[in-house]
Amino acid sequence: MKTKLPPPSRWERIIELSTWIVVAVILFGFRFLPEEPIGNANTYYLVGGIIAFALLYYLVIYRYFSKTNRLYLKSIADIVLIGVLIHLLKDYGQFFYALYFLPIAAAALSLELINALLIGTAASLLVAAEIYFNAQNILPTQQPTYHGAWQIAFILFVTIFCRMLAIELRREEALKEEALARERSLKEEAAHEKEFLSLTSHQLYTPTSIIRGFSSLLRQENWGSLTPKQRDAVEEIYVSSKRMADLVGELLSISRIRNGNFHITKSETNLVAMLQNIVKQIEHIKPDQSVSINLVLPDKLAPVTIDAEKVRMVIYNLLDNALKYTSRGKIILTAKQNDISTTVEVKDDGVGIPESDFEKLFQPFFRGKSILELDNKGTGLGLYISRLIIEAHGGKIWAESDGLNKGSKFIFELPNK
Amino acid sequence: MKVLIIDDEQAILKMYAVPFEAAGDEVITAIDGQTGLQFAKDQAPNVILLDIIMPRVNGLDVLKKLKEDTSTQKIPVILLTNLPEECSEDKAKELGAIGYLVKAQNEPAVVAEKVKKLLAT
Repeated sequence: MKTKLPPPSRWERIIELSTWIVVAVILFGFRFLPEEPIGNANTYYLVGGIIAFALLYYLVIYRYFSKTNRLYLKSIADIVLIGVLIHLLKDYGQFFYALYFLPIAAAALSLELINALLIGTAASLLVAAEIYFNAQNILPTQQPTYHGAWQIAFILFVTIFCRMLAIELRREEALKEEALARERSLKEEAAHEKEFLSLTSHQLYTPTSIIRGFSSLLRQENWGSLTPKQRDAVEEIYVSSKRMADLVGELLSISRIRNGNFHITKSETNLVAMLQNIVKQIEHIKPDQSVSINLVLPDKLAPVTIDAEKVRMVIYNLLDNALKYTSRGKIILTAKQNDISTTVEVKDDGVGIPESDFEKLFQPFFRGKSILELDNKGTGLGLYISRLIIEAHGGKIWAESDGLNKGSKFIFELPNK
Repeated sequence: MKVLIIDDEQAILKMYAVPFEAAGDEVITAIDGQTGLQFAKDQAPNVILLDIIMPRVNGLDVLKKLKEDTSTQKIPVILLTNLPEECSEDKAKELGAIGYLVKAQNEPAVVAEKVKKLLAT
């Protein structure tokens, strides 16, 4: 998951290169001056200074200055820092240790753990190696030329290391920013989608109501009688507009739920009366007599505390589905109750459900078939809305079936209170 | 019976007037909230069917003004809207309406029937 930083511009490259040359020249020059300002101890102070500067560059300059300003600042600071440090370090070097600590600690805090550990380990290894080599008298101390070359190499090595560290820190920062931006845009997108859904549904609702209303008036022959062909045509318009109104209504319900404008208002409800009422209502619209609806109730069914209007919608929906997918046979509506919960089951002799579809049934627009085979029996949102309603009550809803053409069961369980 | 329908959509006004007129009721229509308020005062209808989303003066403001005015506060109001989430049985009653009907789910004949039922209770 490497994020590429933008490639450096031509100027950036030239300035980078010049900095390195200047650093090398200054180091080389100072090292071989007659006063020898770079002693053994001063080398370490200088190295610490470079680390601190690299981190400061990342923590302050990189964050708070524009790209062009950054370039100038860095180049000037590179040169000045090295010159000033070398000059100052002659006598007061050790006091700078305290200052190095702050940016290094800050960088360690903002690094990811693994990188901080790697850097810490590398630093410990360097110190350990230095102690070991010193003890073994391997480090060149006697011959000034070798000694000077070693110091220069060490300083350059640390400088390169720090530059890499700074780049790594920038990469991490870029990654974080990118993730944040992605999250923000996802949130915005989701908000737009919600708004879009609710706006389009509302805009669709008015023309749909008008088509539905006028076709119902024509159908009832409010304006004179229709010829059989006219009646057929009007009937088609009416049925389709009704379906469209249902679909828009369900889309609105979903957008309402997603927008958080969906509230369950519970009250004590007589389930027996409710179930009887629903069956009566659905018997009324049942298309033919080859399917019977039976209501099987236990001797005692205590009132439950639910949002009656919404649970009613769920039961109606399940019965309506059972009717749609059952051409002949029985539909049985049962209710059971224990001390904690009430279970309602709708069982049919219909087309059944393959097991692979159980999970998908309660997702939006799932109709048990591929989109190419969609029938026009429903909107594909009913079971999804049912699930949202039951889950909002703290209950669960599921389906069972022995397979295709073996009927199916839709069951939901609600807490009694 | 005199029915006042307030809605910003001409087609809706025309459509919901049909079953009332067929039953011999007198229907007055108003194309915006302001006109609706005026008609409610001048014509003393027996019931008002009121839309919610309307430009300038929306239905909820109209309802509030109707309930504030002593000459109109006794007229029963039924919200006839496509905004189910803004409205519920309880909210409608709280605002002083005797009921609410969703346009897309209630055809003109059904609306007329439900209005008469609501007035009877």
